[in-house]
Amino acid sequence: MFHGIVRRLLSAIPTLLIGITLCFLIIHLAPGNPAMRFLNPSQSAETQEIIRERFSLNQSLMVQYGHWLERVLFHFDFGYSFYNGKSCVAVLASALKPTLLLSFWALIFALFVGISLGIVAATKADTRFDRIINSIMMVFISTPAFWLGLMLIGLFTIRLGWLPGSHLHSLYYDQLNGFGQILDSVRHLILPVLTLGLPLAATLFKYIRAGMVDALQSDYILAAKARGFRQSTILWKYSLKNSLLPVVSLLGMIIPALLSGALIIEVVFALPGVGRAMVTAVFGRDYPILMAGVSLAFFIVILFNIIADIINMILDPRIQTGSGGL
Amino acid sequence: MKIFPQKILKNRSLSSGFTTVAIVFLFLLLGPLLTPNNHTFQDLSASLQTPSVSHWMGTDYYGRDVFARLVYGGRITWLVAVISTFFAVCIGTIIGLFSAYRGGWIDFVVMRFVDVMLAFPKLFVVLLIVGLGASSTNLLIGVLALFSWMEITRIVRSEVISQKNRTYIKSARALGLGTPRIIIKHILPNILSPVIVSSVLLISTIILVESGLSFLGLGIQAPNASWGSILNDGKIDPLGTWWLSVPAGLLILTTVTGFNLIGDGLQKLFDPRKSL
Amino acid sequence: MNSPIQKQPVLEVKNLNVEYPVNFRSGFQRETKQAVIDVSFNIFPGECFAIVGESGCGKSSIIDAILGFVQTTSGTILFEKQDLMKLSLQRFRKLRPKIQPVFQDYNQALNPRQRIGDIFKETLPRNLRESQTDQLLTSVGLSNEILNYFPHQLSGGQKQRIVLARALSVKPSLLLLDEPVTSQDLSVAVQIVELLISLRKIMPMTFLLVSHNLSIVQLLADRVAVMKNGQLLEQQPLSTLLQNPKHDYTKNIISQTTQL
Repeated sequence: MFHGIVRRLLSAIPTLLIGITLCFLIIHLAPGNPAMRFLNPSQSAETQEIIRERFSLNQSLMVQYGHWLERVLFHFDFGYSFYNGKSCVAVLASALKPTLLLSFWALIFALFVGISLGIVAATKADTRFDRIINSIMMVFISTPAFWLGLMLIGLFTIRLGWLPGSHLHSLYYDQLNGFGQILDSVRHLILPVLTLGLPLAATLFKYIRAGMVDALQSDYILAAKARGFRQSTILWKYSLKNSLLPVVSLLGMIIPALLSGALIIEVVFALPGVGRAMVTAVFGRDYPILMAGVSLAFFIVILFNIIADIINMILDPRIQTGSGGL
Repeated sequence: MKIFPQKILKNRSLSSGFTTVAIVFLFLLLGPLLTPNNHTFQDLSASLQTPSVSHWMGTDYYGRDVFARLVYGGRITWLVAVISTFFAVCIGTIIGLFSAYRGGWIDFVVMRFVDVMLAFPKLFVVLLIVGLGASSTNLLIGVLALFSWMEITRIVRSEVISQKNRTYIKSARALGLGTPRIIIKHILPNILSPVIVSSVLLISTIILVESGLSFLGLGIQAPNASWGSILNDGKIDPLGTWWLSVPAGLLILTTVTGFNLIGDGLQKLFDPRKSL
Repeated sequence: MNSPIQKQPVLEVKNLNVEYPVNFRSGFQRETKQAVIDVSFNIFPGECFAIVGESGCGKSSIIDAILGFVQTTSGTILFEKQDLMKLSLQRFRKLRPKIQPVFQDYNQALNPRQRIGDIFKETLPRNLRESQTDQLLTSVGLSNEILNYFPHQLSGGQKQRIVLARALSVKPSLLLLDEPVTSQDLSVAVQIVELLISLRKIMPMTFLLVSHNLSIVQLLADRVAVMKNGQLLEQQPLSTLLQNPKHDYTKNIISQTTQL
């Protein structure tokens, strides 16, 4: 199995390289003035000349690519933001926390709701309850997340005043005691997490329910029932394990969607995360931030895919075939 | 394979999906007949009016008739989605067919490339390209297609691989038929069903992505409308200007639900074993 | 059955070895299964050469190897004196119509979305199409109406006949029959066997018949080879095999077959 893990990690290297190259290419080949990539128009001509030298903007694409690659891979240097001159890595690092918070809790919520409802619905398949839940979930899958967010804000913040509709903390956060701080954070996270988590929960629900329905109908289960095992034992011991396994691989595919969703939610709820930083950067033509942001997102996706694959390998030794994924 | 009409009618997903989509379609088609207003005409003196007889859905910040914008915006949203999907499916199918049939290192390289492309969160990259480039609908369509073909390729490839070793394909090869002929006349017709289902579901996805982009101000640009851009206007005061924030969202939800239902229904129709 | 005229062999198989990779282990070891081990035989024009053996003994792999669907590890396959392995892809493709398979799985052997008539549109040149289609259908005992049908509308026996007709339409010199009657019920099997026998009388046909069913083989074959675990145990004319089997394995098979 060690072999398998090593192979998996090794196979990720070319993927990362190709991805980083694509990031570079996308920016450099995107329409727009190429010289603007690193030049901040608000700087003096001298500074611009210095930067031109430093980032070898006068030279061919290949040379620029080589330099960029070297800087990124060995110095983690993505350049400096046009907006505030801080290093991109620093800017994104501080923006990472809200994004991760949001994504993490949304995922937990989705897993909890999706899996539990999925199992329950599967046991009551084709009953009225099942049909109603299916319809509700169908609606949630089809809802544009940002609209859901708007509606929730409209209801809970504006109309009812129960929950805050933006930012991670209230203004008076620092003046609160420990417990107050926790409560404040939770209150701020509820709506964003719901907005991001509900459509995700609905997707997970569909998969879990389908898997469970298949598992419950399988011969193995019928045999167990015939032998007199209680329903709950059957459920927990066999069906659950088998239905959860595909979820791990599913997670690997969900991560990109999760990040995209987080981007929009951050804008709607004014959370200072990576997504919002990207949007601001697009409007401000802040190229270094953009390159860094896309690379970061790509890296996160690859990382989680590797983790998911390795977990899969541990849980299910059958999967250790040679052919790679990411 | 004969599909009996009763099967279609009994398939609740399919029938409700079709009905939903048809209703929205009719709305988009006949909308202009219901209102004399132009969707780009600005009348600042009449900005932010609540729904009335002269403006069925009120006006927005620039005094433009929201009802008309819903209709025309919807047309653009649908058009963008359908055209992008069409291109994505064409590209994805062609790449998937040849990669899977050829196999070997070509297949390996292509699938690696597909994996890499899939690792980019769609919104991140589309945002970037569209935001930096000229604000044109064509660019939007192109970029959406460019980052959606991979899903189709994956599905096509898995179908082709499952058909490739079937006896009738082996027989076709043994007869001496050429590769293009085998791919087009023998494999393609037998993999159409899952491709059709994915295409329908892709339309829903693209509608959501495009709406998201327009909501951020980066998709469809003024003076054109899109359901997403109407919501962008609505976000400032979601409750107060409810005619901006609610109807557009409901239309998106309804349309996407409709297409999803059709997709699910088709899936149940074609291959009940794989349906979720 | 007439004794075959001794001419140049249509098919010469020499020291054929085919192996399949099994179990992709991480690392560099790969287990392989030897499906065909050092197999040699010749088939002469006009004769029916049969290979008998139980499932999994490798007989289908020989057919796949001849057709070019699997890689051979070593050995030669000469068809009408041409080394199949050394041909360029182009030339091999041109040669393909001459070696036609009739696979066991007739249910999957026809494109479910293709009408029967279209099959012949693919394999026959336009000018002679109608007359030759009629001829072919008659020779397999089917009528013209079948041209409009889709495969799922046909019975098993009809499907198998179409598969045969399709193979014949490209005028092959060698017909590879892989368990042609195993998947059917007895009455249909008998019909197909009778069809094959009558075909041999009408046109000069060379067959390679592969089956685990000795009774079928008895009805059709001139010479028989017995295969076990990838190797050929013995090759004899049919009558010699039945009367004087050399191996115990052969004796077993003979004693277990029912007379049709």
